[in-house]
Amino acid sequence: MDIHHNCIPLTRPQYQIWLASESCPDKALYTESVLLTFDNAPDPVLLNRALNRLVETTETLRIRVTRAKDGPLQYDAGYTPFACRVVPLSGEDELAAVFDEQARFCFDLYDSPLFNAVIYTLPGKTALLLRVHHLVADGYGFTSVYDRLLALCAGEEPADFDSFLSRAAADSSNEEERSTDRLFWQDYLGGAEPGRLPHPMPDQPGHRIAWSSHSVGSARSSQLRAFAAQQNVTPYCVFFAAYAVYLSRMLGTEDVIIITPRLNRDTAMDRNAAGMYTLAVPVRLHITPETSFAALCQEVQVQNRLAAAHKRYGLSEIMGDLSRKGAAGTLSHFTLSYQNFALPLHGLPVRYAMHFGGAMTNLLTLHILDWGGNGDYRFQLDYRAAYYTPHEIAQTAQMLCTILDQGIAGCTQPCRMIELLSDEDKLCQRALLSGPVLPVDPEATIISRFRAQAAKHPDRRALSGKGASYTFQELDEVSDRVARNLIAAGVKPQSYVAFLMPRTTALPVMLLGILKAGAAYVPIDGSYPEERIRFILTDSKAGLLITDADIPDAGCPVIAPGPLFDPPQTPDSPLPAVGQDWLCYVIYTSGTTGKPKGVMIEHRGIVNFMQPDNNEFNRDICANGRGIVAVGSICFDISMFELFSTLLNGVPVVFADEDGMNNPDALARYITENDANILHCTPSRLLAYLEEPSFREAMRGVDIVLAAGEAFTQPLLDALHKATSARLYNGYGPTEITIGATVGRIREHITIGSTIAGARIYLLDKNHRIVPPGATGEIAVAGYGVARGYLGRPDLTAERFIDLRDGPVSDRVYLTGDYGYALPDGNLAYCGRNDEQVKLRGLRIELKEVERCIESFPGIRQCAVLVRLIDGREHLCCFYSAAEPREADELKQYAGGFLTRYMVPDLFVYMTDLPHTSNGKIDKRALANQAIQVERTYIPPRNARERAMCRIFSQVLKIPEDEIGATDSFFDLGGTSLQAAQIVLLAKHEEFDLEYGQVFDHPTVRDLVQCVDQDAAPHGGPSLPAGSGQLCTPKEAAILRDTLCHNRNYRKGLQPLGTVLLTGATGFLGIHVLYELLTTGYNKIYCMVRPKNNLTPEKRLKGSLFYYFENNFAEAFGQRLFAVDGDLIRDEIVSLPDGVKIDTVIHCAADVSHFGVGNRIRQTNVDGVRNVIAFCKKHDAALVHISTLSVGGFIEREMAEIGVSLSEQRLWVRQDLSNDYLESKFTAEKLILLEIARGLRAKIMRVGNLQGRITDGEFQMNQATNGFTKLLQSIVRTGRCPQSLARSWINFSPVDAVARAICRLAGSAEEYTVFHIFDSNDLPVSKLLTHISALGYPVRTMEDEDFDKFMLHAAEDPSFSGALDGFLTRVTGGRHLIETPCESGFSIRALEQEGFLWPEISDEYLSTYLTGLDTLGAFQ
Amino acid sequence: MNISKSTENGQIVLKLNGRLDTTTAPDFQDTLLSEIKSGKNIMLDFSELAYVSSAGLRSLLTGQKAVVAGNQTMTLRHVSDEIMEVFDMTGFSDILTIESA
Repeated sequence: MDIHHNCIPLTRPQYQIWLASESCPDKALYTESVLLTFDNAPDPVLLNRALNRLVETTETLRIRVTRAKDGPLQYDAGYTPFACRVVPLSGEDELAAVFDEQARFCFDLYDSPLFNAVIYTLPGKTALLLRVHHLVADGYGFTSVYDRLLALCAGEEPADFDSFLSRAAADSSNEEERSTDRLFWQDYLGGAEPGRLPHPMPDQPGHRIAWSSHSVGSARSSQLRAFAAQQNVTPYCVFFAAYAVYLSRMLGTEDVIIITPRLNRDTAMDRNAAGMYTLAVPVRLHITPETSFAALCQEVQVQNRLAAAHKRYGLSEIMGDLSRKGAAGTLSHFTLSYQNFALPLHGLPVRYAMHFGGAMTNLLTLHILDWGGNGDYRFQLDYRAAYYTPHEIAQTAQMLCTILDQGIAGCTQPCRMIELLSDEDKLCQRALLSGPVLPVDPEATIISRFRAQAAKHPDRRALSGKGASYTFQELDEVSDRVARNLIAAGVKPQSYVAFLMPRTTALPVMLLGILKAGAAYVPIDGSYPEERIRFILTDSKAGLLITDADIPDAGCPVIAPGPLFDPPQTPDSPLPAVGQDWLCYVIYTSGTTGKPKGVMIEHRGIVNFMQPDNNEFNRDICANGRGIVAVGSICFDISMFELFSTLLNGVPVVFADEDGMNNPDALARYITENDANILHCTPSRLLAYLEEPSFREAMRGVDIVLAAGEAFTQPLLDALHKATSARLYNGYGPTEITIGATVGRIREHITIGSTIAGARIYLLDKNHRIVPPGATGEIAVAGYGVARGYLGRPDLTAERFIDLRDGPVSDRVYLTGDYGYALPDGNLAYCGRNDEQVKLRGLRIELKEVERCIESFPGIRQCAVLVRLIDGREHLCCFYSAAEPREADELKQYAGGFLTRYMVPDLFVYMTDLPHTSNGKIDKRALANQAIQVERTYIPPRNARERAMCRIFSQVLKIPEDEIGATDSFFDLGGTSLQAAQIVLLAKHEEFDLEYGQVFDHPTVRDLVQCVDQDAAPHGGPSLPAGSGQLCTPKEAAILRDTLCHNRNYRKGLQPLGTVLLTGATGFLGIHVLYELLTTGYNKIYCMVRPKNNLTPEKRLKGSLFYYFENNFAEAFGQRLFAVDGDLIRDEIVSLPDGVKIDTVIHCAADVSHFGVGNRIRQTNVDGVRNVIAFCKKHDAALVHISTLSVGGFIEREMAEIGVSLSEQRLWVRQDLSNDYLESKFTAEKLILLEIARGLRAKIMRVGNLQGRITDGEFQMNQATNGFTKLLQSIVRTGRCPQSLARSWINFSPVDAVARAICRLAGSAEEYTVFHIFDSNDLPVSKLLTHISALGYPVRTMEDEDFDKFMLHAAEDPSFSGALDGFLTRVTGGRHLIETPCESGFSIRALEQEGFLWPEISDEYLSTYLTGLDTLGAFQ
Repeated sequence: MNISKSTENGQIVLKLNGRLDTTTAPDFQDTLLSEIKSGKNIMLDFSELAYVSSAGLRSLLTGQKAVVAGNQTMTLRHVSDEIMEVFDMTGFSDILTIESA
């Protein structure tokens, strides 16, 4: 580093900002912007002069940050006069829009200015935008900067600032104090329960910030100041308390944590410096049901003081410590910042606006602004656009005002009395989640509705399946007969009749008969244990049991179903007039206490639900339904849906028998044989069935699919989208509200739909009040469907069926115990049950969330997550089904990408199928008893170095040293990237020279020690993620890992190559390898060349040699150079003269077309390599295989951010290989590495972007086929280059240097198997552009957006025909993927040790290279 | 390398003998360009030419540009298989007019 400035480390506060910025690169975190609008329209020249003077006199604005070995350093880059950009604008509207966009500017962190300014001129006004990175100035500092600017504008000469850097140089921290602080924070934040966070909306960019400003109002502001004075707290505390109340309500928690910045300017000198001093701290408040607002304000003050006393420890460190326990991710989402810096205007007519960051990682920041310094407050809310709508934010501001008003007015009342929502808000929420109000005939019953259909379509088929088939009229008649026989047998109106029958068509007939007799039916499943059957019979006080089964001690009369179908003795006796409020069935559901409870359902709920226009699904089946196959167990109310939504609307039912319920083949037959086009199935069962070809075939006839009864999952949606174009529906509803409360069509996103007609849904907090919009609450349902209650259980009924009273809202509701939140369009999203929220080691986990995540892993069919106690320790266990078992590490790594660490299961259990209950849901109870084995993984450290590293891990992770095994991964132990930095620091003391990235590459104690210790014997390997899919199986990944682990700690030493067989000798690299061998060695070289165009191999080779080197080496032919006929795709690639012994094969041949036709690429690059390997094995030759760094492919940006890269110790990094060429090269490497494990001597040379040779720039003969040349050609021909490309860097590896490096390292020790042969110093594309322009081809760099427009236009323009290809064929990895970064430390050190230096890419070289291309017509 | 000049049916025939490379290409290019200035069509006879290097190709391209500008033609004949492969590989067979054997 050549910096003559005085570099000093960042201060602690700066370090916090730096860490956070580094964790979110390319995002405009911490860009502070102020817009000053001058109404007197000063001349931009004057502003520019003031700006120059400002920078000249303000050290802060000149500070830059540079990378150094031990971390970032800062220095004063000095003042150079500059001309500020002046941009004319049309008016204030445009200015506002420009400010909004420009505030999202992203600073380059290193060696670039961290301050800039733009002047805008508009009619009658001039505006000035100042931007500064938070690294160099906090809010206070920034304000003093533009205060100074205004002073300069006003012609004043303000006093000098104190130097921040000289203060910073004195910044030091005391280890003892830090350890006290650490303990304080652990204790302070331990066991936090942060509540339910808002959910991201689909399709919204993750970190995008949005902002909105709201007036608090003068009256309210002065009230607040008076209240604060009276309470003897600062106004800040009152705002803080209000924000806390808001959060506690929104998140549903008593435990609120708010991050708040502390000024941290302790001395007058600090206050007279611009600079960055602020430190953020978490403040934790406990709002009990009894806490009053006044008490809360006092508490805010106490907690703030407490937290501030330990502020120097740093927020990142606090969260880092906590994240090991998994809590941090949910603790740092809400920030409050109080800005009361009065800005003197120096008599200028100026207005200002401010933004505090162009992106954010937390969710919501409330800024309290008092810029006038007169206590007239404003709120500015910065929020993540993916989590809040602008409307919700406006409501948030309103709610904060409401809290202030009510809190102050009733300051001694408990905070829970504060009404966040106005009456109007509550009615709005009710309206959002209420179904339409449709007229329901108050007399109608299931019976009357059925008879109406029978009269309408007497001859239409109504019921078929195993047993007799019936038309609507026949079904009406036979059920009448059954009803009369039942009455004759003593059944009274409004009594209970139980039945236990096999699944034949007699069952639905019986059910109708019971209803017609005026009784309610109690269904019993034959598979129930006797105990349960007897319990139901007793509990329901059933007057009769209809069954053929032998039920001893039934406790009531038992009759067989058969005789009930006989003609009754009194065929014309009247049947009772059934009322809508009579019970129609009692279904027993499991209770949490273990005792089933009978849910009493009346006719009206069914009548309402089955109205033809009640919901989207009904409308669909009434219009398009040809029949349903009923597969639902009769003991679950979904079966009522199957039977009644159809029969009561004239649609036929095919009643599947037990086989049809449980066997996909049989179900498929039912569907096709009966031409049914409606299917209902539980999601987990449907997902399993879709695996069956016969079922998928049958699905072709199905138009309407309802998958309800448990959570509709993403894998199911994907599978359905693949298998069928049917319309998909989801629904939600516990038995207690009659089948369902919501139904909805599923298209892209999964929701449970919107409320059905005649029902109302409320989302409630713990106190049974309606939650604010966007918040998650318990789902409560009201309307026609709400059950009468639990049979004989008034206590339970009173607990779950309540009268909801909240302001103007009054309703009888059933509390479902399920949680959900409303989407802005009125659809409901389901979050799971209370009881699916578990606590593991004190942390709350939503099992649903974990399951959803794991199910999104490709290939996983189903999973269930639960907490199991194993060996006295709680584990989060995931049981999953898939086509084949997956590596647990792979799943962990995947889940770790989405879930907070503590939510990632630590045990994965593979099952071919998960157990299901009789109603098709996953049987978690069975899983709770499933045997699982836990591997004991503790491996003790084996030497002093490993013990030292364990000690370091222990210190950083706060885990007892003896619990850290040598093979435990730092990250599995809960380590964070922040703590990884601490590891590096501590390791220095133990004389480990460790780099930050190495902790990621070698996360176990053993690997880390090995990778840094020169002397340690290689053993084990880097933690390489296990493979998936066809690219790499877990077994292969393990072999690769073991093979590649030796590529470290290069030891000098080269062996001669002996007699060489060279393939691909006429290619660009091949011929330079040949030249290198010819000119530097004495060995014999056999070149394998295919004869072509009547040319012998020798003639072809001579032609190529002459072309590149103007020398055909005629004298060498026959002496040490031999051209032999051969072909890679022959099994025997080459036949050599007798007695020739090849020692080394250098395999340069490859098909380099990235998108090839058919099999050719694979044939050459994979089969060819297979044949080469066979040759080497047969001749006991060593192989040097030329590969490419592109085998790294593309990985997700997040993966790259955590340090995943392609190194010499890796091949498989879960990369995406988007084309045949890359895949073939990957596979070839894999084949070779697997063979190395079996004894093959081989090395892989991965090369970079091969370019013209360093000696004279000469480029490859067939340059027209080179993608890079094509790109240059397109740039020249269009004269344009997109900004993103112009700013990028490219690798530039001169071919002759590469050839030399290959020949050199080809002789390295046998254990080294992979080298990266490229110059890691990339070339900026902009430099190339300069040279292209110098050749007389001017190039205009354009914003990407404009460039895209140009491309669209040019594609239509014949004069650009063929000129755009180079842009189009650039390979990119798509939206989320980036090129896999490359680590080449091993190769760089190896080349250094072997005395190889990469040549400099000089301007002269570039110029020769480009001229060479030009004079060969490459740009024409 | 030797270049011999003759006239055939009103076009100038240049017969090249030897190797066309960095050393010989400048002379060849000078000769070629001065003949093109005559306005006549050019025939390059390659029957005695053994090798072409990239520098040789450049001189051919310069000649080709000149004839196109002068609305003339430049034809190559008796191109050996070795040199034809170079023309094929470099894409020059699409740029130059080559009489098939």
